[in-house]
Amino acid sequence: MSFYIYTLVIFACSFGIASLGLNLQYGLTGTLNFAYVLFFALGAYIGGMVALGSQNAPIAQSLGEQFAFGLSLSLPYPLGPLAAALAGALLAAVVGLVLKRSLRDDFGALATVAIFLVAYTLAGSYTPAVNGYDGIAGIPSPFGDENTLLYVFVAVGWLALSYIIAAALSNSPYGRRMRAIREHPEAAEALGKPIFRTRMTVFILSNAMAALAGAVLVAFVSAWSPLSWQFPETLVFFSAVIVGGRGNNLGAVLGAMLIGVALQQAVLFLPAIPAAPTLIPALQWVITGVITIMFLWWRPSGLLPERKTNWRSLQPWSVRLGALRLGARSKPQ
Amino acid sequence: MMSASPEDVILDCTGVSRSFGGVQAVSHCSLAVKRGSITGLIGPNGAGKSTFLATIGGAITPSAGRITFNGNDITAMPVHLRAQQGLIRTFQLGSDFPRLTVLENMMAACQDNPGETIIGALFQRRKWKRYERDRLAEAKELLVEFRLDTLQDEFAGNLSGGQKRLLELARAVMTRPRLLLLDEPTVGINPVLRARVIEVLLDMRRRGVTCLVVEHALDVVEELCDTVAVMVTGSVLRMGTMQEIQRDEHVIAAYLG
Repeated sequence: MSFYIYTLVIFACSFGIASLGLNLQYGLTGTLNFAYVLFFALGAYIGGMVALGSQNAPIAQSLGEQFAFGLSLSLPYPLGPLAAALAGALLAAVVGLVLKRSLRDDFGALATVAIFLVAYTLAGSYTPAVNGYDGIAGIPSPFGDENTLLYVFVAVGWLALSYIIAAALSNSPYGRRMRAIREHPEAAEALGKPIFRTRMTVFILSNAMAALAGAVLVAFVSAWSPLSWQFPETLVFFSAVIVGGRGNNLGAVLGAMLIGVALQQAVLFLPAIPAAPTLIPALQWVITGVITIMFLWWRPSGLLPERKTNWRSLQPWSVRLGALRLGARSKPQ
Repeated sequence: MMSASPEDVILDCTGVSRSFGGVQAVSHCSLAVKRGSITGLIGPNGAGKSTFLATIGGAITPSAGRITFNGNDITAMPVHLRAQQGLIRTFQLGSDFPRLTVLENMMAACQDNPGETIIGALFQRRKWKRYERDRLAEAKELLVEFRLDTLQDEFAGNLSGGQKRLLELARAVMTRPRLLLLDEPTVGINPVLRARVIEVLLDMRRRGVTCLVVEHALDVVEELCDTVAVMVTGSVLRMGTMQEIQRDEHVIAAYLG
């Protein structure tokens, strides 16, 4: 039972980090990136391959010669997710430069679909890279198999760190610039905002978060293959951000828990249909799609809508607390 | 003819041309805008006024010619860098940020906000909060001037057309511009507020802001502008005071009728 809960918590943390990242680039900046799960997958591969090694796992030793160009590093824990985030940032920089100025355009969005399909096919077909459709396996647990609870706390820590960064950014003048660019890029540019540089910076940062999320997950599930990052997975993250509330970080985390974790688990409790055994697992995509469309129709701002700036937060705490005390004193009069 | 020394000229366009397909929208257009003036740009529809304004703002790159601003060649400079130097344009159609509040729209216009970099936003919170406190007071004063203060926490997308125009103007002032490019600033605003806009623009001139205004309403031009340039078929035909322009037989033949 406790293992089941650990599983849910770690999935929630990983998907939560990824949704926070997508919220930065799509919810706040308005960049449409349908290759988002590619960055998540890259992070999982890198995180896994950095940790894979001869000492930790005998299976990996035999596999290690066959994929990742023979890469077998067996490095200690935090290096996996850090390398993953770095790799995600690098890939984002390359993809961003390829898309150049069309990071928002319809063409740019279509191009991300193409990039995803190319990468997916290559990862599956070119076995020396990441062992093709068989994928990688035997990734050692970061703190050993008996210390899963410790890893749960570490995953929660990664989520907390991501949340703090995302929240600090979106509540700052930089966040306002991101939203202005989302709302009206030409007007933002005419007000002196460098739209390409801003979109690019957010693109790199948020895709690095996706890669981190992948690394957080793979250290727990210990295996990774193209089956884990099919195209619909991107839509799960989009759905999480839309349902949770575009532009709201708490909403993104909530959406990740509802769409990415709770819905997936709920579907498993449906009675199996003997005539169509694959229908129930597939229902997850169907329900996700229907819910997303319903939200776009009836509640496009999501469960937790984007918040207006609280200007009082500009005041130092001493002033804010002072105002509270003054308010308390003046009331009885 | 005007005889302006180079220091008096904030914007100098020489031989600017731009065509779309077979249409020569702007051809060999030259214009010098004096520092501290409100210069009107008038002319019949299709004369190329908006295209010319767009080449100055940077949204359209001219195929020939040279534009200098404050003595610097800006012909090929990106839009956002022009804006950072104080060359701000407004749009013919609404350019508000709909899902930002009125006050957020205003604050988005700040030019040197220390919180508008990732590093600044995350690690210099005290610095940008101090900066924003000062600018917030300024933004609120401007909203009072523009009669938008009661709407400050409303989403800009919920404003009326006229209120959006006012917000756009207020936002442009918030950037602390040196030269404002205004594309029909009084269209869609009721007469009372129109007078208010004119007042604000005249007040800005007193504060040293130069304006280049495209405007069809000649009464507004007369009230507002000290110099008027008449554009016909892609280039400036005549330049002078409104009185001079109205007497000029070429202008009468080509535009005023």
